[in-house]
Amino acid sequence: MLTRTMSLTKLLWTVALICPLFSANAADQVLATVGQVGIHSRDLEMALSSSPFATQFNTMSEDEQASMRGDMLRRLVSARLLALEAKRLGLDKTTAFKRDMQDFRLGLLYRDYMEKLRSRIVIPPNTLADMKAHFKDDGDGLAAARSAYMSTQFQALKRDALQQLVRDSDARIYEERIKPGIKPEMVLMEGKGFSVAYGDIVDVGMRKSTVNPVWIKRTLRERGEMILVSMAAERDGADVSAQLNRYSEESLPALLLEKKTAEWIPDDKALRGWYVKHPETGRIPASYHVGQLVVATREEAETLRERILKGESLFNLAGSYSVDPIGRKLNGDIGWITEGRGMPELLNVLATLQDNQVSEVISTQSGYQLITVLERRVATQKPFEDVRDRVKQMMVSEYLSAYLNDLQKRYPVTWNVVAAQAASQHATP
Amino acid sequence: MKRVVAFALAMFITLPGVGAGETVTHRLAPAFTLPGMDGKPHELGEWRNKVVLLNFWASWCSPCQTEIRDLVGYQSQFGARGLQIVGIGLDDEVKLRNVQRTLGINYPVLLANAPGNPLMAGFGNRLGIVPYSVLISREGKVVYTHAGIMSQEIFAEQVIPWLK
Repeated sequence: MLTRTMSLTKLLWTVALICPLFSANAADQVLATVGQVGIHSRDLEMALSSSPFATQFNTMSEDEQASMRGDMLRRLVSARLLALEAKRLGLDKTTAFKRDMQDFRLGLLYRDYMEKLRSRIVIPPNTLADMKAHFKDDGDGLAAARSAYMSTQFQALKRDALQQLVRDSDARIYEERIKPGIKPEMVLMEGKGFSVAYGDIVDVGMRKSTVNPVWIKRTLRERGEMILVSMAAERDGADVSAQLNRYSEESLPALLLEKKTAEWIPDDKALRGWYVKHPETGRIPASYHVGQLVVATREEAETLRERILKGESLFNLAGSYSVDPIGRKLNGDIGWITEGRGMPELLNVLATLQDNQVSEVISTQSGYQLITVLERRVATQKPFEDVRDRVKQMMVSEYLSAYLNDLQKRYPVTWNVVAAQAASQHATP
Repeated sequence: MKRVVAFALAMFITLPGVGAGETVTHRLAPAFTLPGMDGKPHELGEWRNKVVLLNFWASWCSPCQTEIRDLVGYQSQFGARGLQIVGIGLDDEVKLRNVQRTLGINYPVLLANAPGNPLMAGFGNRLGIVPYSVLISREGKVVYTHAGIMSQEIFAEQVIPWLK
């Protein structure tokens, strides 16, 4: 085993190189350690399989998959760094975060309870036999009929279960307390082992005006149902701590990033200032629709240039004489060349060549060329308003990169290279 | 209880089949020859006397990939009882090969090389829905077709009985 500490950039390349050694079925391995916390190969596989490009990933070559794994691991390391720092800064202690976690926990428990409820439904043999007889040669129809039966049964079962939970908990709602001037601590619903206050369902800090009583009553009942079901799920032994922990680990980096973004970019002035320093962000380069003829010798090029000046078409001559097979096939019409992306010798001439004039002979690595400009688009600079989002994205990216490097001083990233044959040949610090 | 069944039946009896194709069950499976991932041509007749589950799929199709994970397990579990799954890939060969490698497909995959393959229409799927599966008996008759992911429940009900 080879263990190193390295920058995120080096880390990316290393992972790209060694990750073909890992597969979904391989034993779980610690790929990296951030602070005291390990990132395992199963974390990486889970992140890949739950990502938006999971389907596309399976269609990639081994090299592309290795690169994708490397990129994903880099993201996981970054997220872990941010999560650790978020905890150090106490972002997991804020009221908003606690409320979010509580809502997520209730949702998980609710789903767990309902799934168990659904699993109790069994289609009676006689009913199933009737369905099969009816949909003898129609598997899709049979599946749909079963699904409809299960759905109807589930609705009835859920209604009965909820009524039972309400009775057992002795739940009461105090609708008369919903009136203007209501305080956050005012209890609107309570029962055995639980209570719901106004502040539990309405974020008073966010809502200055009085909330619609109809909305409050509906939300109160939904919240009460969620709590009763969640309590029942916990009594039945449901454990959602693992999912809750994962959710926390995913939420905290986003919270910290939101906070840091507000610090890095306090207002539009900062964005405008950055755009002034990086005008290339909004520059659309000049481009030229070019006709081209390439031959092997300067003499031949000069002779053809004379013929063009006397009235022959560069395009006809390119179709007959050009040594560039694609250019010859296209009769010299090579399409658009964008400033900064072609041969410098050609671009220098294109910038000053008049439209529909033939150039002097240009010597390039391809041979001796004659070119002409059919059409041109001048370079333009987009106004700030058009590139605001892009500027913000690039600014955040720039600050984040430096911030992550700083965080590594507090939480060292240790890279554990397993099966190091390939990695040891390439992973030079 | 009868009301529930009646509701379920009424709800779906008027809907067209998901495959929206002509009924092909109980007919002899149309013969075909397609190139395989192994570079050789393969015809359906190669698997005579086996219960063949043709599975039409495409590399871009997420449900297809989900289903393939199950199919790989079925081939391992039921191959000895005469099940032969045959995948028919409908798009880019390179991508299909990558999926085959990544998901560890353990049954032959043939290349139809056309998204709206007429072969699939010949098997009752004129809308070109994928995934699409066709069960062919040992006697060579189409005995079941299924559009969409074949659940484990449906596999148990529709496929396993033919493996006796």
